[in-house]
Amino acid sequence: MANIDQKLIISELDFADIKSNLKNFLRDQSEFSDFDFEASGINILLDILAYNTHYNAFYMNMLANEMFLDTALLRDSVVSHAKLMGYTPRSATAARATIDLEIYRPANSTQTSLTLPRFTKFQSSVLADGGTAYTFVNDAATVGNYDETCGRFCFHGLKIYQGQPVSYTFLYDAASNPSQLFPLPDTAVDTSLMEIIVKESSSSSKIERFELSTDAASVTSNSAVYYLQESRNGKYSIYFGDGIIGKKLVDGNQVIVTYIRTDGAAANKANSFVLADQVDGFNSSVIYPVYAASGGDAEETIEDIRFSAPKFYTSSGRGVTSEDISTIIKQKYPYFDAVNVWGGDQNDPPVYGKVFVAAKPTGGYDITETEKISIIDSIIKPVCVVTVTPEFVDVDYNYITVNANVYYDPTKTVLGSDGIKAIVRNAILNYKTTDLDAFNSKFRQSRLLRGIDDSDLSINYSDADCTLQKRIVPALNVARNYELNFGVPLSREDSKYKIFSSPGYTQYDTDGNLRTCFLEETPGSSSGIESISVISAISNYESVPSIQIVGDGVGANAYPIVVNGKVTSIVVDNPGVNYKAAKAYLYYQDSIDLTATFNVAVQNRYGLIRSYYFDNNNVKVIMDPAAGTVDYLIGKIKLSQFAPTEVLDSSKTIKVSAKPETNNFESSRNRIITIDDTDPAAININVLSL
Amino acid sequence: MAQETRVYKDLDLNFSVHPVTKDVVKRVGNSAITGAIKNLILTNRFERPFKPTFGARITSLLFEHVNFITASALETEIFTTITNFEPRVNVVSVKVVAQPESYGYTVTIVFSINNVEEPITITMFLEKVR
Repeated sequence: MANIDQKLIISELDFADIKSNLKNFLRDQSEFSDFDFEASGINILLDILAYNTHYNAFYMNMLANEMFLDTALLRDSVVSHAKLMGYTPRSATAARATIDLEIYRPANSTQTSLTLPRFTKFQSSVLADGGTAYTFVNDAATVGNYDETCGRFCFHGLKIYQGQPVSYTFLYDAASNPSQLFPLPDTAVDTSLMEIIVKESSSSSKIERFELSTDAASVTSNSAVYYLQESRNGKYSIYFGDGIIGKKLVDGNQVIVTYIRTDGAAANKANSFVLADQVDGFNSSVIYPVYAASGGDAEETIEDIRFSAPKFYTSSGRGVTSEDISTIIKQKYPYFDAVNVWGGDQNDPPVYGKVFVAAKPTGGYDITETEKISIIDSIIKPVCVVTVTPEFVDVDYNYITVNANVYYDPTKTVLGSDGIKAIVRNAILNYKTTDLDAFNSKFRQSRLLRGIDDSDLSINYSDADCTLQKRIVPALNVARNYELNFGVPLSREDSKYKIFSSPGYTQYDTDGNLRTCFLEETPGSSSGIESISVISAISNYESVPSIQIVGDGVGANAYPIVVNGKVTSIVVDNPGVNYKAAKAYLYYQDSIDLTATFNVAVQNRYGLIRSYYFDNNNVKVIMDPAAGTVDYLIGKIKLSQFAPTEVLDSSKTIKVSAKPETNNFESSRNRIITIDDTDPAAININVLSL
Repeated sequence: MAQETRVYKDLDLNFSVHPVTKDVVKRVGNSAITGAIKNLILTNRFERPFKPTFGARITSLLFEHVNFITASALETEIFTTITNFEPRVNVVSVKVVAQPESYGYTVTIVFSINNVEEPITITMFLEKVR
């Protein structure tokens, strides 16, 4: 038989290696010498042995993988590991919109208030991208009072959630269900909207509302709490206390579970609704959208759980570091796709004793004031260090406008220019999803162009000009100061992309005529001579010399201040325009004095913003030559006493565009770089054939 | 120059018990090779793990019409398979005769073992079982 003293090789896992090792093992015996011939019987036996070993090795490898959070592949395993850390993966979340609902009261009615029942249905219009209309419901009964002025019952700021309300009733029987575990039959459940009511018995009217347990330390034997866990196949189960930690159910209790089964992210951006139910017999209504639907999302992915669970465990539910607070907000307010938290010491300007929070809702841009207060009061303050004051700040969006030229070879594709344009647009939106739309993100134009070039084989090369855009919704008929902080250095009087605004806004001129105005960078306002300093000059001038400025611009003028025959300083009385570089020379008694040397500083940091309109003869007229200033270095535009009477766009938003100085820039704190795919002017693609 | 002599010893997949030693019976010499050839041609492709090309497509041919065309295909298949996967033998001839009345084929394989002049003949009857 085989020499058993020989060192056995057992480290290989592949079939071929295992079989080879078995053959090597058999090489020392003479009992079955045909093992090396594939058709032999012993070889078939080796195949079976190797296959079996390979099978077990693979199984053990998979088993070992599933034993650790870092390597587990199955969702059930990842969820189970997270459970040990006290982390419940967040469920799918329903898209939520805010509306103002007004229901007409019939002329013969004297009713003064109307109750909008829970789960009243609203139907969204068909969404452009999904082609589907979605049902939204309110999650609580609301009373609306009759408004005499408009003749309607008003429900202002009503929150509605996308999904189908579902209710299940379970009868508790201790003998058949000793663990008090109640599996829910649905996936895509928004657990944050779940309601658990326990009825004493089917014949009793006594009910008790149970709340989700979030802190074991505060739970007593009589606390009406339930626990939530994700079970197999992404479905959820609820269970109850054991009578020591949390109230225990008793036989005959009816557990009534109500929740919303949602379509997640698909319903984001729904912004037009109609009332689909009658409310107490009234069905004539009008709905004004306040906030479009946003925040809808699928359940937390495996990778997200892998990332968040250890962080949640580390913070132990306490908000000490900025990472702790970020993790807690993400877990409890799952419909944010980006959250950033920074200490006051890192703020600009520093504000000590505060922690700042900014968050971007999934599929949307803004969150309501109510939600901000709710997050601060109910999520951050209870876990935050006592002496630290949390403050929610709005997200400051930098919208990128992409103007791309794409050169393609028509012999390499059956697509026309429109087809290529669609592919390139998708590539740009893909870049937005992967690289932008997050805090602390980085815009790299080379990566954008690489994405465009790789989007189709027929694309030979591409180039792009990207400008940045800030948006303001100005108060109408009120003079206010506005700051538009781009956060990146801006290009000064760019030859192709000057700072400009759109759409137009109306304002009265000095004669009282209403004009349609625009903002723009004032040419030359940032290219004059800022100052001239004296480096050296003799000290015995008997008469006042003159200064001559020589450079690539025009119009600059300066004169020296002479004290006791010495040039002490230079006064620039006219900065001139269009200077990029300049030198100053001193002329004394009609001849140049080269012993006097000066340092000339060209303006390059600050410029002016002016407003203008076109008069009845289509002549451009400057309305206000100093409507604002621009600091090119830090990328900040200030509009002073800006008082439009109307903005000529339904969104009432003025967009101010500027070219960044470089094609690579980053965001920090509450700033997010994004591309607004709903803005038709955000992506401009020019397809050219080679 | 002396010829290499090698004794082929293989496991009998019938796992018969030796009447005296009570051990598993071995197949030795010509019997081992004959058994290997039968194993080979009765192995379907994709049957052996991680060796999808090993074996012959005899089973599928047995479900074709029993005629001389299929018999010819069987001849080619058997000849090619043995040549490719059994390096110990040289195939002299393969003869397959269709037996339509019995729904099968009589197969006669004549081969010689390397370094042995005397040819060996195997005759078997192939029929579809299921």
